[in-house]
Formats: sequence, C-alpha cells, structure tokens
Amino acid sequence: MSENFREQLQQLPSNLANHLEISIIALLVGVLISVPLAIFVSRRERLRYPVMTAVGVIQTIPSLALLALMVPLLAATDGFLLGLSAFGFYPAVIALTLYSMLPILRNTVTGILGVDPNLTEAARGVGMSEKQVLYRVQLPLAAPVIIAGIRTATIWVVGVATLATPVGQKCLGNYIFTGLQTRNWLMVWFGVVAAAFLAILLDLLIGGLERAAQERRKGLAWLSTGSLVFLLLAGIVSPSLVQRADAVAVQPTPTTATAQVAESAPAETKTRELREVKIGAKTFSEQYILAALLGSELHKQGLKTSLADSLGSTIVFDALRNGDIDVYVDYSGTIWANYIKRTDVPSRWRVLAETNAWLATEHGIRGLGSLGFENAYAIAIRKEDAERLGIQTIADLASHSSSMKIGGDYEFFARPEWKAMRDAYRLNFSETVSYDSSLMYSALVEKEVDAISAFSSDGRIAAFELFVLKDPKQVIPPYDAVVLVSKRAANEPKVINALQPLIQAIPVELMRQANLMVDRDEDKKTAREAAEWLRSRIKINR
Amino acid sequence: MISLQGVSKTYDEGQSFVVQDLSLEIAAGEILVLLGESGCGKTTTLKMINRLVDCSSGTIEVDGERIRDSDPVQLRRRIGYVFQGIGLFPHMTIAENIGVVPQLSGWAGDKIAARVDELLKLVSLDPSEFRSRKPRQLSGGQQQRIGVARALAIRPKIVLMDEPFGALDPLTRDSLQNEYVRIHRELHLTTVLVTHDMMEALLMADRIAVMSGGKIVQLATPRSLLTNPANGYVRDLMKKPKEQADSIESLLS
Ligand SMILES: Nc1ncnc2c1ncn2[C@@H]1O[C@H](COP(=O)(O)OP(=O)(O)O)[C@@H](O)[C@H]1O
Ligand SMILES: [Mg+2]
Repeated sequence: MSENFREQLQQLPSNLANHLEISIIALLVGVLISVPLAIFVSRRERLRYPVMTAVGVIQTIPSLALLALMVPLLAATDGFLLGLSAFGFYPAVIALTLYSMLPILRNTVTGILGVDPNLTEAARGVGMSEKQVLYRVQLPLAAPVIIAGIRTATIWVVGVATLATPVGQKCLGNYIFTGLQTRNWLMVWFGVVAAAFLAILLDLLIGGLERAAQERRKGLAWLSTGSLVFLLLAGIVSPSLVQRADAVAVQPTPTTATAQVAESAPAETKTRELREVKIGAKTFSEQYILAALLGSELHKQGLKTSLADSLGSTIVFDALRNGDIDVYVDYSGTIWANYIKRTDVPSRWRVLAETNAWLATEHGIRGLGSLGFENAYAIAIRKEDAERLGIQTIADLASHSSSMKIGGDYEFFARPEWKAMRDAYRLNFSETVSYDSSLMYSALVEKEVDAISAFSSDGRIAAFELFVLKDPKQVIPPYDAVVLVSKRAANEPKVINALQPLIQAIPVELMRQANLMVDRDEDKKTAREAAEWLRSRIKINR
Repeated sequence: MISLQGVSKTYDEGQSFVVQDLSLEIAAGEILVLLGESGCGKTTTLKMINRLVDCSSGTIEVDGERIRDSDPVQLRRRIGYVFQGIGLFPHMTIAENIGVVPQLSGWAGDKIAARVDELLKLVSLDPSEFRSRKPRQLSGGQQQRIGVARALAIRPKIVLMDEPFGALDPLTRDSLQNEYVRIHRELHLTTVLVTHDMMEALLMADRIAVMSGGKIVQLATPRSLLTNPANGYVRDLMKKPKEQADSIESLLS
C-alpha cells in the first residue's frame, strides 16, 4: 500500500461520516418540510403553482453557488435569527435541504393528484374525513411516487454534498477539491467512488422500502427502515466519535503531556473552552502544506487539532473572524487590498505592520508575522518569449499585450491588483482566460495563453522555465505569508508558543520546492509528506 | 325518510341550474329510482342527499333532520353509497375494504371480522375464499357485490346507488339487481337508485321519478308510468322498452 493510499484511507472514516451526516439530515429535513408542504398545496390550487415555481427556481441555482450563498445569508441574518453559524454544518445542510425539496415536493403533489378521483370520492362517500381520505387512501396510493421522489433527492443530495467543502463542512468533497488542486488523482477517485457507493447504498435501502410498500412486505420494510435508521444514527453520532478517535490518536506521549500540563496549569483553567485548535486552509497546495505544518507544530505542544481545508478565500477569513476556525495562513497583500481595501502600495514592512494593527483593532485577530516568504501575484511569461522579445518588466509587456492572451486564476481578474496593474501599465490583452490555478501553468507552457498571473512561491515557475516580470511601478502589493490566530486561540499561550518558531523560518526557495513536490506529476508527494519534508529543512528557533 | 324541498343546484351563481326547484319525498322502505337521460341532474340530486355536493338553495331532511346542520362525515356514515366506479381501495384486501368504516367508527377487531364474514355471505360470496384477496383479483360483478357489502357495513338504513350495475354484463346485472332487491327487503332499507336504464328502473323501483333538465317530470309507480304518462316526453321514454319487447316477439314468431 502506497503512502498516498494509506493517507487517503485514514481520512475515509471522518470524511464519510461527515458526508453521511449532512446528507441524511438534509434529506430528513427535506422530507419533513416537502411532504407536508406538498399535501398543503395539493389541496390549494392557487398556491400550487407559485410554491412549485419557487422551489423549482432554487433548483436552477448552480449547487456550488447555492452553498456559497448560504454563508453571507446566514452571516447577514445572524444565522436566520437563530444564531446558526455561517460556517460548515448549517450553510451546508440548509443548502442541501433546499436542493432536496423539488423532487420530493413535485412527486408528492403528482402522486396525490394522480390518485383516481373515483377512489377519493368513494372514500368520502363511505364517510371518511378529509384527513382519513389523505392518510388511508391518497398517501398510501401515492407512496411509490413519493418514494421515487425521495430516491431522486437522495442521489442529488449525496452528489451535491461533495460541494460542501468550500463552505467549511468536511465531507467526501475534501478528497475531490484537494485532489483536483494538487493533481492527486487517487484522492479524487477516493471521493468519487465513496460518494457513488454512499448514493447507491441509500438508494438501495429506500428502494427496498418502496418495494416493501408496493408488495406490502413487512419483513423487507423493517429491514430497510432498520438499516436507514442505523445509518441515520451512524451519520449523526459517528462524526463526533471519529473526531474523538482522531484526537486520541494525536495525543502526545504521556510524559511530555504531563510536563506540559504541569507547566501551564494556570493558563489551563482560563482557556478551558479551547478543546481543539481548528486549522483552516484555502484551496491550493501551499495552503494544504502549511496547514499540515501548523498542525504538526501544534501537536508537538500537546494540542488537539482539526482541519477545515479547501475553504473559499473569503469564507476562511470570515470563519477566523467568527471563531469558526482558529488559525490559518493568509497573505498580507490580500488583506491589504481586499479586506482593508487600500490601493496605495507602501513597503513590505509597512504593509505587514499596518495589516497587523488593522486585524487586531478591527477584528481582534492576532497576526503572528511573516513565515519568511512572499507568495505574490506576479506576471509570468515563457522564458523563450522573454528572451526573444526582450521583455523584462510588466512595462515592457504592455506594447506586446494587444497580440497576447493572459490567463489567471478564478479570482484574479476581479481583484483590485489586476485593475491597478492594468491601468498603471496600460495593459490591453486580446483576451483574458480564467483557469483553475492548478492548470494555469500548463496552459502557458502549451501556448494556450502568453502570460499568466503566477504565484511567486509556486515551484512550477522554475520547473516549467517561466520568467517572472518585474513591477517597476510597484503596483502589486507585497504578499507575505502571515500566520493569523483567532482571538480565542490567541489567549492560549501554548498556541502562540507552538507557532511563533515558524515566523521568518521558511525561505521562498524551500516553499517552492515543497509546493513542487505536491504539484508535479512524477514522484508526487501528499501535502502532509511535503510538510514533513519542509519541517526537516527549516531551522526552528526554539 | 328523505325529503327534498325546493332544492336547486347551480355552479355559476344562478345563470344556469343543474337541478332546479326539485321537491321529493322518499318513504321508509321504498326503492325510489331517479330515471333520465345523461346530464339531466340525477347524480347531482343523489349526491346532495349525502352532501358530497351541497345544494345552493332549498332544504333536505334525512330522518327528520336538516342535513345542512349535520356533520357531513357522520351523515355519510349513516348512509350507504354505491356507484358505478365502485371505488374499491386497491391497496386494501376485501376484508379491509369492507371493514374500513367499522374500523374508523371504532369497532373492535373481532366484531369487524365477524361483520365482514356476515356481509360477504349476504352478497353471496364465500368469506374464506374472498376475505384476503385484493380487488384486482375479482371480476366486475364480484367487485360490485363488495361495493354493496361495504356500503352496508355499519348497518345504514338508507342506501344511495348511482348506476351501480351499469358496467356489468346483462346476466350479472340481472342477478345482482334481483339480489339487491332481496337484500333491500331483508334489511328494511330505504334506497335511492339512479339509472338511465329503463328496464332496471321498471324492474327494481317502487316508484320512479323521471327527470329532465334538472326537474322531475313525473313521479309515479312503474305501472302508472307505462299506463298513464304525464306528457309526451315520458310517453316517448316508455315506448322504448315496449318497442324492444315487441321486436323480440316478432323475431320469435
Ligand atoms: N362540478 C361541476 N361543475 C359544473 N357543472 C357540473 C358539475 N358537476 C356536474 N355538472 C353538470 O351538471 C349537469 C348534471 O350532471 P349530473 O348530475 O352528473 O347528471 P346525470 O347524473 O344525470 O348524468 C351536467 O350538465 C354536468 O355537466
Ligand atoms: Mg350520473
């Protein structure tokens, strides 16, 4: 068994349990809302069309967008006035529930209205009340159609649940997002196969229930119901069990643990609620590696950790602000331009100092400082073009830009840095193309585009023989990789002690090499392996 | 037993009437037939008696009680209802179909089982053979027998029938008609039967109300309808069976 396979297998219980939990809860809530709603509108012709249309419209929202939209919606409404967290579980389950509604609603209405009117009249005629007509005649006869709707919803929900990763909900999508980003196809397959397996299993069980209802087979009904209830309970209970098992597994050796406790006994009482340190990561290789690195440093201090990776880049900052995660690595320029919305570009050290001050006063977030390297947006072109056309700077590029195409990651062309650069250097590309950041570099090498918005710490710049253009007008802000710690975790000295030694410890060359280990296609390493390699190379100043 | 006074039904706020100013007294123990062409308002009249349709104006009394004031569900349980569609519940066994109203009325299980067997015997079906079958495993005639048994389950004194034998073959229809008349007499029922079939009306009715355009044209015994038609419409209507009888006779001679 390869290291890669073993690492993926290790994550399976946790990813699967969480996936099962959100899918089953969403389906259950979906059924509990949709079936009564369908019964209600099946009796009120005037409401039927508007309600069905509204639910249909939800279905037309792309599922990834629906999930992502739940986050600001929950945040702006104080969690629908219930204080529900805008991170992870609630946005995922609410979006999935909405997604499950259409097939259940539509099939229930169709099923009820499809019952032979002779039968409902007979039922009324023999003296059944409206309720009895519903429960004794309409619902039993509509049951196969209703269950078929639930089966459709099940397949959809289990599939769409894989997209819950970017809103901070652990699920089988973690395999897929991380796998696609790091071009780890085994990892992608893990997610895809497990999700398919889960969908088929649930579909089989509900199908069993359907057959039991149709053929009135009590045994089969009990078996299917029993298995579904078991899965439901497993789904709800197992994520916390799995978590506990994980936490036990990372417990440090007893001797150091007792030593630690004895040392920091006074602090222990003060921060009792910090049971584990939640580490966040955005959706690219460097982030996965750094998250693993932060995790191993925290473990060494006897702290329990959990990981929420592949988060959307604004979601991760909001999550830290709200205390849904405790620590992650962001980049000073991103905070500067996107959150503070500054357009001036002072020196690297001014940006660092001012972002730290802003984070502390505005959000109570503690910035520990730079890890020692920058991951800046930079314009890269093929080395051969740079030599042939004599392009050294972005200013040199401007005169050639009208006959060139530029590629960027999904965010790039919407970011203030791009607009500033474009206006300052009067760039006028013939076309802008958005790529997944993992594909951008190959696109440049294969001449799909002539320039890209590269990341300065990416190992592929050297490996693919690319040339990074200078920015003489200094419109691109500095992008120091900074460790941000939530208010809650910043009060825990152990957290600070664990992470402080990483500050200024990673030179950009090492980060590039670690990134390349994960991004390259031959002799690929997982993010965790790359983090271990990085740890063995850096000088940690204790 | 049942009384309709000045009863009208309109679906368009009085622009047209499906049933108009209809008055009718139905005596205890009789079989009254509502006879007329399709669309003349027979079914509507029948359904107003058990409030499957509410009348627009007029008064209907059942057992001396104005039905407007009574709970429709309780009213329907006191009145048996059999119709052409039969409407046996396909997801229930025969026993469950017959026993559903007793069960809803809170009868004990063994009492229901005994009643189901009793009713199956009443409609000439072997309980042990039919009890646990599904409706689709029965012929049309057998299904309609179950329809009658279900209507009688909690011993109503009144039975409403809407073209109950219309879809059956002539032989089955004939035997079911005779059998129903027997049951009607045996249980001292009051029956209102809707049909457009002249022969059925003549053979089963104590009295026939001939309807046309939402009104009663003539109310009389079968004999006096044949001998004493009130107008040309009834006379023409009564000609049909006589003509049929005549043509069969000429065929034989
Ligand atoms: N729900 C309804 N809305 C409007 N018109 C109706 C409705 N039900 C019955 N009618 C009309 O009332 C008339 C009498 O119908 P019905 O009583 O069923 O006649 P019959 O049973 O004598 O054939 C028909 O013209 C029919 O179209
Ligand atoms: Mg009719």
